[in-house]
Amino acid sequence: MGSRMRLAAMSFLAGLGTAPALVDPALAETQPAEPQLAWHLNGLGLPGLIDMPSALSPPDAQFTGQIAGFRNTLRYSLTWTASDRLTAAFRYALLFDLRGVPGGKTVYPSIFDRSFSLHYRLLDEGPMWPALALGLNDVAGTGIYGGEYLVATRTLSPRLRLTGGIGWGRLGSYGGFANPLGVLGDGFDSRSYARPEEGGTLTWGSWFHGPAALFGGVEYQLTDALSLTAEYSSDAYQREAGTAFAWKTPVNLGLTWAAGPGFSLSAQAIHGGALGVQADWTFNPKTPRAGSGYDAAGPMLTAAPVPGGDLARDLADRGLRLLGQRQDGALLEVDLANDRYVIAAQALGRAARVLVRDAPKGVARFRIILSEAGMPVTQVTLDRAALLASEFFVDGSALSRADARISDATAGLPRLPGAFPAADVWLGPYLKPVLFDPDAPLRADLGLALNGRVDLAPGLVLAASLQQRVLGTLDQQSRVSNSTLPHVRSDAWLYDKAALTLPTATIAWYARPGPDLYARITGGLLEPMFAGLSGELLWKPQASRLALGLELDALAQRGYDQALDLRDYRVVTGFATAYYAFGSGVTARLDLGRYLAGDQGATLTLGRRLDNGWEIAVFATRTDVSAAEFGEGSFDKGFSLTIPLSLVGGQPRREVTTAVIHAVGRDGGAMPDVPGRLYDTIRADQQDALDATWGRFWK
Amino acid sequence: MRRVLAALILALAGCDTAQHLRPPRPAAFQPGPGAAVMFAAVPARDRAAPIAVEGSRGGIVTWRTADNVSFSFDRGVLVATRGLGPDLMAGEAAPTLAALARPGGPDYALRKRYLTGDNHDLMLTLTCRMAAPVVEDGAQVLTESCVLPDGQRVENRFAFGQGGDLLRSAQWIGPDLGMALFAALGG
Repeated sequence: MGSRMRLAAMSFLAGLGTAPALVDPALAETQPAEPQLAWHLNGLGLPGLIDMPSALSPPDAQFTGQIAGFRNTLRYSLTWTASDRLTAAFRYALLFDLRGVPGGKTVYPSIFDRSFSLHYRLLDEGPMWPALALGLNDVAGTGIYGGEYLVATRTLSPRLRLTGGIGWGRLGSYGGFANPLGVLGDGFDSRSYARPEEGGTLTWGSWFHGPAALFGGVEYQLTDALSLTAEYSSDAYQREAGTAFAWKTPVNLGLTWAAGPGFSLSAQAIHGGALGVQADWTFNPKTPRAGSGYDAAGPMLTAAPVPGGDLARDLADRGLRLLGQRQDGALLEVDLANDRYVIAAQALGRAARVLVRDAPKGVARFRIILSEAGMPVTQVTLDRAALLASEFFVDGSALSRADARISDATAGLPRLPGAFPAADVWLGPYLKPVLFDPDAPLRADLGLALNGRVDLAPGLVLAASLQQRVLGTLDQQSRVSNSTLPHVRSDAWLYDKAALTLPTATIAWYARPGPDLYARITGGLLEPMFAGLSGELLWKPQASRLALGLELDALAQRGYDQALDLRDYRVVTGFATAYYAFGSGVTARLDLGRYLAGDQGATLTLGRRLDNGWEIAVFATRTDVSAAEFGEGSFDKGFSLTIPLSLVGGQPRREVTTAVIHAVGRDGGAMPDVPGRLYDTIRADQQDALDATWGRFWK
Repeated sequence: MRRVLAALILALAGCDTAQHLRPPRPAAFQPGPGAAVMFAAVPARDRAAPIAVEGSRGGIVTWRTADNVSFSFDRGVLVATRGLGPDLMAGEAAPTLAALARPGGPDYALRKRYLTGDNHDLMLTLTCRMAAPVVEDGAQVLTESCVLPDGQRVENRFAFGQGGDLLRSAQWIGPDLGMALFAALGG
């Protein structure tokens, strides 16, 4: 409640003329608070001051996109608070007139540098002690931003915060002294530096090595929207000073303006030699603007069946397709395809509302089978009287869950005539970005995609996508691959030349070979670069944290035009995969197998999945391809981001969009991108996902 | 726009000028039979719209706008909203109804359930007190003052006509949406 509320309450008053108000504006308003200390991220996207870190962490799951720049330095950072204590930042920097090594002679006219940082809050601020955090900058890159720190932050008043710490590497380059960790061994006394063209592997051998230095600073909240930052920096800018800009003083000054919700702008005096600007855009996917969504109210429950109800029609009105139906005495079973809700618990709740209204009086229980691609996944049994009792009950969420029985559904119901075949065609825009090409950090195509899908029979699905580029710059790429491996991914730029393409065209068959087992066979144009046949078997009990999968793919490389022609390269890939959910949305996945270039190895993926469908994961692959054979980056690594489209507009939608960003797209450790993989197809319908999101049942 | 809407609501709700007042009758907390339409305003959403009865069950009446925003009331006390975003998933009415019948009594707890942006139940317990009725503009107004767990204070107000019918109310939906204003038509 803010000024809007007051305005509205005043209007209400005005309408009453001189009569006393129904709403007292003073009470509808929270007391004006003291200015609260703003959040600051430093120019590397980490909690901090201007260049130096602080010991705080942004709220759990918070995202920040940042652009920070000053003379000859431009950084784009993406920061994500992966857990309450762990913050990670990925950064892409364009650096000009930079020395290859600190204090070195060779000056590079320009360098495009990628780096990745981790920041961990060890200790929360307490009544007598400060917050304490440990951080690693550039853990697997060229080391340009390589530096480690231990930092303490103390809030002295609601307006004032102090920070002090000790840094190594880049953060130990000004005012440095002999490394106190030298007592642990002589090795800590010196530090080696990589040249910009090297890197890509973990630099742990130099962490906390070399001279150390102290840094510190202060943050002061001037007004609600303005805050001041001053710091004593232990970064001597040894690669930049004198070439990229004139370093004059260790002191940096900043003024930050909270320009709008989640958006701030800063102006900075950088070491007395450059004027810096920084823009931060912050949002938290746990608290989207639409809250839990603007979903239209479902129909209220009725004690008696509503005359004129038509189950198939009323379910279809809620985006639920009735595939099969059977009544056995007081039990009514329905088999549903959920076309609308990204959270299956809501699909169940909407179906329950329709069933209570439409089912004949003698029906006391409902069994809802959730099917994917016509393959039954989960069955949920609900009690009609319990639903009526819990609809408006303050504990109705827990109560409705307690009354529900969830189990594996290995068999569907007799199909309704007309349920198959079911066709769906939709036309929509597509955006295909290519990030971090050294020649141009951001390229993209925008076009139209015509997608079609036909559910031919239960479990049998025909699907295809046709794309027409409307505008874009992907066809300007000219990075001829120097890879000595088969060019399974490094010719991606050639695949981006064609304007009209058929990225996928597949026929897939899904089945349940037994309890907790799922199977898939997919054939056709599986992805833009490979066609063939893919088979998969998955074991995933309903509430199990562990799932195991096997996949085998016989593939042929597709022509660059992404039409129907094939190139000569053939490969068989295969993977044994273990998936594990640790709780609190933390997930791990380990793939062992044979990759597209015929190399063998493993991929480890660590992810965080929010219970609204947001997911971010980092992955790394090591195979028997050597770092030299792999080329730039040494091994394949990157991250993926999955966003449910329902959270973008706040309206219910089943679709999610996933972006996978490889640090460098090379040929080693490359997996085929087969559509409709089983784990992602069934996971949201299973008991663990339903339990985590059951609150949405009555949404 | 908001000012106009709010003024419209009040114009439509009319002002009860009757001089003879009786204590509110809990049984008559529903808007009367002539009030099949109410106006609802949610200032935080910049919305005001007529709402019509969708149906009732077990004393709870659900009202709905043309674009499927719904408000459910247990004898006049708001117990659920849908379609507004950070909706009130469910709220207790019984403590408020008891206090409306016997205002001026001791504090009582009022529980409300919300759904977070990542689909978790969020329970809020308010500590409330119902003040003795006062006569304002010919209506008998009862004010329920509540304190949230974070110390923030909110007030729900119920204005009853001489027949004991609820004419208008201002009720707190939740932390994100703030107050909703309801005015019965033709009551």
